[in-house]
Amino acid sequence: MTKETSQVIYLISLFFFFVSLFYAIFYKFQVGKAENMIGITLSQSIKVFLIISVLLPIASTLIVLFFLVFQ
Amino acid sequence: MSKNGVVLQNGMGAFLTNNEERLILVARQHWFPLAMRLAILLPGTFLTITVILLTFSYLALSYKLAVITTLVILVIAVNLFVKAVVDWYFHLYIVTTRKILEACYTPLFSHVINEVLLDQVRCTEVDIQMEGIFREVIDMGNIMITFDRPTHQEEFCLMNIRDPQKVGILLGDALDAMQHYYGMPAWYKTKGGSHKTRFAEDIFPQNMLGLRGGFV
Repeated sequence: MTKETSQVIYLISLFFFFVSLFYAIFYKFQVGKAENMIGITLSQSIKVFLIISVLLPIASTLIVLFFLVFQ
Repeated sequence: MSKNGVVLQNGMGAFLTNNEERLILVARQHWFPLAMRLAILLPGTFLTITVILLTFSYLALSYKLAVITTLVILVIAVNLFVKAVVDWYFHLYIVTTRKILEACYTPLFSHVINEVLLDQVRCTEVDIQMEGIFREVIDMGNIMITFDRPTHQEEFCLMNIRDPQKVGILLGDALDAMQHYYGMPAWYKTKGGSHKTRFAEDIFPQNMLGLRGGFV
C-alpha cells in the first residue's frame, strides 16, 4: 500500500470519527433534554456508556492523528 | 429509578396536569426485548472484529489499518448499544387518575406520546395476553385496554409488560374506580338487579346543550 493510499484512508477515518463525535455529543445533549421532558434521570451505568460513546471517538481521532503524523 | 420494570414514581410530575391528579402506574417494557437486541449486537461486534483481524493478519496488511477498522466498528457498536438502552429506558406507560399515556422518546430520532383522557372514554375491557412458553416463564405479556368512544372503539396496548397479570388487575380496578368517579353512562347493566338495564340520567335536552342547571 502506498503512502498516499494510507493517507487517504486515515483522512476518511478521521472524518468518520469527527462525525461520530458530534453525533455522540448531540445525542448526549438530547438525552438530557429527554430527562427533563419525561422527568426521570438515566441510571449511572447508562450514563457511563454515554460518556464512553463520547470518549471513544476522541481517543480514536488521537490515534489516527498519531498514525498520520508518524507514518 | 426503577424496580422490577415498574418505575418508581418520584420525578414523574411532568405528566400530572392538575393537583387532584394522581399517578397509578408507571411501567416500562420488560428487559427481554432489550436483551434480544443486545444479544444480536454484542456477539455480532466481536465476530466482525475477529474476522477483520484474521483477514488483516492473513493478507499481511498494515496493523495500523487493522487498528483503525477495529476502532470504527467499536464506535458504531457503542453508539448502537447506547441507543438501544436509552430507547428502552425512555419508553414508558403511564396511568394516572385522569389519563393513560404511552411516552416513547428516542432522542434525536422520534418523540411519540399517545394519550387517552379517561373522562372522554368508557373502558369496556382489560385483556391480558401471554402467548408462548417462554413468555410464561419470564412473565412477560401484553395488556389490551378497549375504550368505547362516542364514535368508535379503540384499543390501547401496553406491549411486553413485566408481570402483566398483576398490572392488568391493578389497571382494571383503577379504571373501574375512575369510571364510577367520572360518572356512569345513561344506561348500564345492573349486576344483581331484576332489570337488564337501569336508567341513570336524562341526557336530552339539557346535558346535550350543556345546560344542566336549567335554561338561561
